[in-house]
Amino acid sequence: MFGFIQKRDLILTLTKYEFKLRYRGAALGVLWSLLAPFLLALVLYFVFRNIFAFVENFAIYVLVGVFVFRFFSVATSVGINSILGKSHLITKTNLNREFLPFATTISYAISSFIELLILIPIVLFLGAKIGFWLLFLPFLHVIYTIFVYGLNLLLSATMVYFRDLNQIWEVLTNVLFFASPIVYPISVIPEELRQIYMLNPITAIIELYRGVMIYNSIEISFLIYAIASSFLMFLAGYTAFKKLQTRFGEIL
Amino acid sequence: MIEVERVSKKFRLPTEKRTTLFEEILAFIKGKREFTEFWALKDVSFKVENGEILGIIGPNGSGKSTLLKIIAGILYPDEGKVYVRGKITPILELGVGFDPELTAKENAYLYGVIMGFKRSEIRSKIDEIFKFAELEKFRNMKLKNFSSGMYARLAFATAVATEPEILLIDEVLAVGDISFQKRCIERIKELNENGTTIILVSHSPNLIKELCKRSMLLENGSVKAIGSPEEVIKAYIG
Repeated sequence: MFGFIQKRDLILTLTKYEFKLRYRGAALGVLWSLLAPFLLALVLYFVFRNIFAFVENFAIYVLVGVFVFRFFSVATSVGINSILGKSHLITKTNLNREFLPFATTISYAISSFIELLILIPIVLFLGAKIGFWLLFLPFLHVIYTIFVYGLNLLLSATMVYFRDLNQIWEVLTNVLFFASPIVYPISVIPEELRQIYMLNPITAIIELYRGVMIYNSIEISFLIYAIASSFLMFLAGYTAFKKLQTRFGEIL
Repeated sequence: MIEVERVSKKFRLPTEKRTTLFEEILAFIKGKREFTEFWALKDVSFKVENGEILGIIGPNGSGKSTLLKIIAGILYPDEGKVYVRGKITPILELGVGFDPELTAKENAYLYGVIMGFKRSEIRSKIDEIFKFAELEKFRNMKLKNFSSGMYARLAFATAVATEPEILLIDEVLAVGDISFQKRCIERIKELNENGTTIILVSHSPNLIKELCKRSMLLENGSVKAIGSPEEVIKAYIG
């Protein structure tokens, strides 16, 4: 755990250049990465607005949902390759391997945070109630990042052994998109399935972001569940990674 | 100090290469999960004292690189143990992690931190690095415009800029022109005089003789001879 502080130079440098290379040649940089989710949110809004007309301010409801989920989907789809795609660093150097998915996760966490900051004036303009609880946004983002990092540890290590995992994961991500309250409110889920439905940590996380960015409130039970599942995910991912990494050098 | 104690390493080579979950499931159902086993290292023991240079020679496929990787912690031994006191800097290949889209200076930083140095260490040595590599004019050029010689010089200069506690070098001294090679060897000597422990893998008997006081011959994964370079090279060449 203390390794992260000790090796901050490595992490910062890897993150910095990953960030830099991602936006090379793109003068508008982060702005381009905003366009895709905006269009997606727009389409989803027009398709579903009549069905879910009862949701208060459905446009920003969808907008925040799409942007929050986007961090998860993009960071894991890239993070799943963070070991396999840098196999030369694994087989030829002795750097701590858990830093590779970490650098990827952090660089996407930063761009996601910038995207959310840009979103604030937009949702405000569209009628969101923003207030004191917005100060919670960075904290929420840290919790969410821990969750994504844990998952990326698990995914990137497993990917070394099963090279088709990314295709399976792509499908699962799409399933998760519809298994999370992004384009519909939780209230449409039948009462008897609600308990199972709420097990999805992404649900709690999305609702928390909506709380601070739209309703100026925070649901304590969601917060506790999000923190608990993030730390569990991290613990599970880290343990699995430590076990699986012993044979990276041979397989890659 | 490095102590290698009865280390063996087995590689499992699947008869058919399976790397997808789908193939793995298919093979499992058919009951075909065979491996050919291959011992890359068998019962290897030796010790390197602080401040020593050990030269390892041996034919291709004798397990030299596998041994270095085990000492570096990249591979894990199946049997035996490796004790290391001190921080290891392995140079198994030059320019690992270099990115063609970044400038030479950015790459020096990137490569440096990958090798385990601090940014501040690299910053204080950056002028020396470019002077040693004779690339002062190309600091801000993107690496994709470099020739392979320039690439290797930048990598080597960065790798040896600071004074590592333990250095593992695998066949990377034969880069650049003769004058650069000479300076590389001078730098290795200088590092060793300042206390760096070095394990050097090379195919060149002359280099081993010039740099090392002790040498080891590895053949088919086991230690065939260990002692003064003259004797070991005699055992190797015959």
